[in-house]
Amino acid sequence: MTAARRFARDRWALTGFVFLALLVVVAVAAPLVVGRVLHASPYRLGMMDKVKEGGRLVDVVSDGGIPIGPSASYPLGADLIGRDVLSRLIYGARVSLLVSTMGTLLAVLLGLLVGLLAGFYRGTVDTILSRFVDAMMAIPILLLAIALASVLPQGNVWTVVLILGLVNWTYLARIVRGEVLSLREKEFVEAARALGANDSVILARHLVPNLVGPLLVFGTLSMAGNILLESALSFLGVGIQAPTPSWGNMIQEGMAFYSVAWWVVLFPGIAILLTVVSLNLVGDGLRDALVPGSQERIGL
Amino acid sequence: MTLRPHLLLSLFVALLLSAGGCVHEPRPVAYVPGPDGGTPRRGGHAVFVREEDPDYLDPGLSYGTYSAAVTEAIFHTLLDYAHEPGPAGATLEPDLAQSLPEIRENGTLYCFRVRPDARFGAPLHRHITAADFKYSIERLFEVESPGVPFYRHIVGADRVIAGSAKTLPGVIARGDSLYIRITAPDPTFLHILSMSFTAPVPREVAEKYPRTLSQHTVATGPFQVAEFTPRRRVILVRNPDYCGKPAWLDTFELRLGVTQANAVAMIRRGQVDGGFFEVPPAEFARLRADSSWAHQIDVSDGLETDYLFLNVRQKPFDDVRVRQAMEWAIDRRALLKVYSGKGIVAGEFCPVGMPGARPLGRYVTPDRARAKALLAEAGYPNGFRTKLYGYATEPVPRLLTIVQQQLADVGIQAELDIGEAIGYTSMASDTSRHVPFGFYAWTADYVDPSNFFDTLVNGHRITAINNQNLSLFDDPWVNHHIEHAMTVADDSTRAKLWREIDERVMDDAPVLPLLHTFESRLYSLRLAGWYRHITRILKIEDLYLKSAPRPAAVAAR
Repeated sequence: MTAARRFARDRWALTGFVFLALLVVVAVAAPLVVGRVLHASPYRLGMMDKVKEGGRLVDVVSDGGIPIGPSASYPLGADLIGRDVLSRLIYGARVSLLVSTMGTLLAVLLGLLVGLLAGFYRGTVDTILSRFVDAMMAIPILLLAIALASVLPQGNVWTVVLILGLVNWTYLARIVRGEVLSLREKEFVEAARALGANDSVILARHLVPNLVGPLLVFGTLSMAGNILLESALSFLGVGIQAPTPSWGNMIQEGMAFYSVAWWVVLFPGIAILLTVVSLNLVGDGLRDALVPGSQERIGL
Repeated sequence: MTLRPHLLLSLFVALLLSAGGCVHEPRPVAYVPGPDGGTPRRGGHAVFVREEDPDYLDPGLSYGTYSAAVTEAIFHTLLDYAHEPGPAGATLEPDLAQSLPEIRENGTLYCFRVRPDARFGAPLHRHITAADFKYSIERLFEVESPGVPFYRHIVGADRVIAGSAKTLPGVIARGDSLYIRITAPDPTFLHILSMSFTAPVPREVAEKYPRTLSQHTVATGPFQVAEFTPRRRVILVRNPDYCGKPAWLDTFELRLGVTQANAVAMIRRGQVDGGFFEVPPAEFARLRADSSWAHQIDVSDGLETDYLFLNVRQKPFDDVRVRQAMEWAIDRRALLKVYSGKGIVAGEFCPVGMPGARPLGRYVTPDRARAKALLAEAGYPNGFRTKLYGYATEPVPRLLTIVQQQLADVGIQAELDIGEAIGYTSMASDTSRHVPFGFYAWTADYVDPSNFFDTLVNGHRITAINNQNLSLFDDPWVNHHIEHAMTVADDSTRAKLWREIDERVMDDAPVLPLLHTFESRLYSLRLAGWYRHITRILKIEDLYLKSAPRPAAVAAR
């Protein structure tokens, strides 16, 4: 049975995949969906606007500062300064998916490089790199991320990508090192060496293709963690800065008002939950499909 | 399928977020006087909370709005204000002085006598002499106190400021007699002398701990400090050496690091009695709708103006047309909603609650076409980019996000730079930081428009650090008229002059007044004696408990 078939037979994984595919489509087409379909804007303030609800005009934000809840004009309600929550949620998906994907790619690149070198060359190179990885892993991720956020330029999407990449690569480096230590002893590597292939050819042409499975599984699961980490950073005020919407900063902005404007925090919370669960389902499905029976070995 | 830690976390977050409450519509805001707590009685321990530490517990250095209530409970000076809510609280009364001073030489010489029973608290317990007052006023210049500009008219202050002298010949101490001579009559000078900047500090302690006096306070007021642990708590105990009316409470504890939302929950649960924080809008709406708590919220006009300052020495804010364009771009009515409607739209710089002040109603309705035309006339048809500074205390970030969007509507792209509240004032008031554009809020130190105009827009008060004229606005007409108005004794003439100055300031627009906000404070059901004093925020010595007191946390030292 092929890996694709094994994946397709996992209904939970498939459900997660469909949700993520839809999310990506909506996020990519956000300007179209928000502008042309919803006729809304994630940035436009409605502080002084009125909308017709139940035959009467109501303030989008009341004189007491409470925004309108889910209604015909605002399907998911308005936020505290009268912005459309649905539009911000869709634009927030772009930010959350972009930073988590790019952050994961950066982590994969760094982890792959360090893991390959440590596992392939062993000896002193392995000792130095592995101890460095150990030292990095000893620092709590959130603490490291906040420390990096405080020294890097704040509010920039690419800063958050850099932070996510720099705090996550160590796990992959360990996995790759373990895999490479095993693969370098295989016959196909010996054969390549006997045919005169140098180290870089062996690494690039023979070892990396054999690491695709673990990389894909790690990448998917890491994306879920990155979405949460980006949300946590934005929630703490060191991630994506206003007015750019991200699911994390949407929750942060509405947190103090959850008792009177629950929609401001509930919907981004649900979006995070569904996306993270979907990524986990897809990750688990991929692991079962690509590396059958090896869950314990790759330590995922 | 395994359940991963971040999956668990996300489930937890979702459950937490879905635990929201129901919607309440806020009621209109009205002034609620403190409830009658019966006959005050002595004793007990009250607990207040606050998020940030007090700036200092040093009368020469402390100048934070919320720190004031604490420092003014510890440090009293020659005069105090009447212990009354509302405008009646603006009446000056003798405190460490025997009586109100005799004013001689056409209002330029103030003659005080220190009370014979005036004493420093622990550990000194010694008599306070006129020399202690002289030392404390001179110390302000030595420690570069933010209060220095208020005392610049004392004879000899100019030489001390210039560094050519260390003592003030205008302050003469003879035993218990204190004479203060100023260069020109100033009807507000007694109010200025009542500020805690002039509270006596014992020389022997101040010289021993020149940099850490906040940790070695010697009280002159109704309370003394039993403990000050930064980021944790301040504990005050009644000062038995205070010669005035003693405090009702035995002890007063200020717990630090408590957020606004937590503070409200703690007060409602009866764990604490109050706090120095604005009731969050969401909680405000709920509490006002709750008959048990509606009367425990004190909403009052603290004579405040929230405004944006524009550094007129920097481009493009050096052009009055740009400044006026920004005035026209802002819709202040939208900003008022951020404060749950607690306040009024500011069409003038001086709060309209100030005696003699009158609303000017300038720029209260936005005119974006006019703003764009003014920008085009000034050479910025496509707007410009700038940075807008502010601090993270709610609801300032939300307010600035609205301002940012309103400015963007006329082409001005303002990047927000939101920092911690603590340290913001010192950053903004340091001219070497060249802050171009920022948010500021000013609450009256004393009841006179000079506290706004002289302090915030008089060019003669610009200093390198601790500079309150954040716009660096230096207009000779405005400077001259402010200083002239300060010498006029007749109330109606003064009021007319202040209005002319306000009009000129609104025309020149170095500051963009946004709102005159009201304060809201929440107090526990067992606490009485609270009211927003017109200048002193809260008189802690007037607080008392209605029910049986809790055991005191510490014994008086």
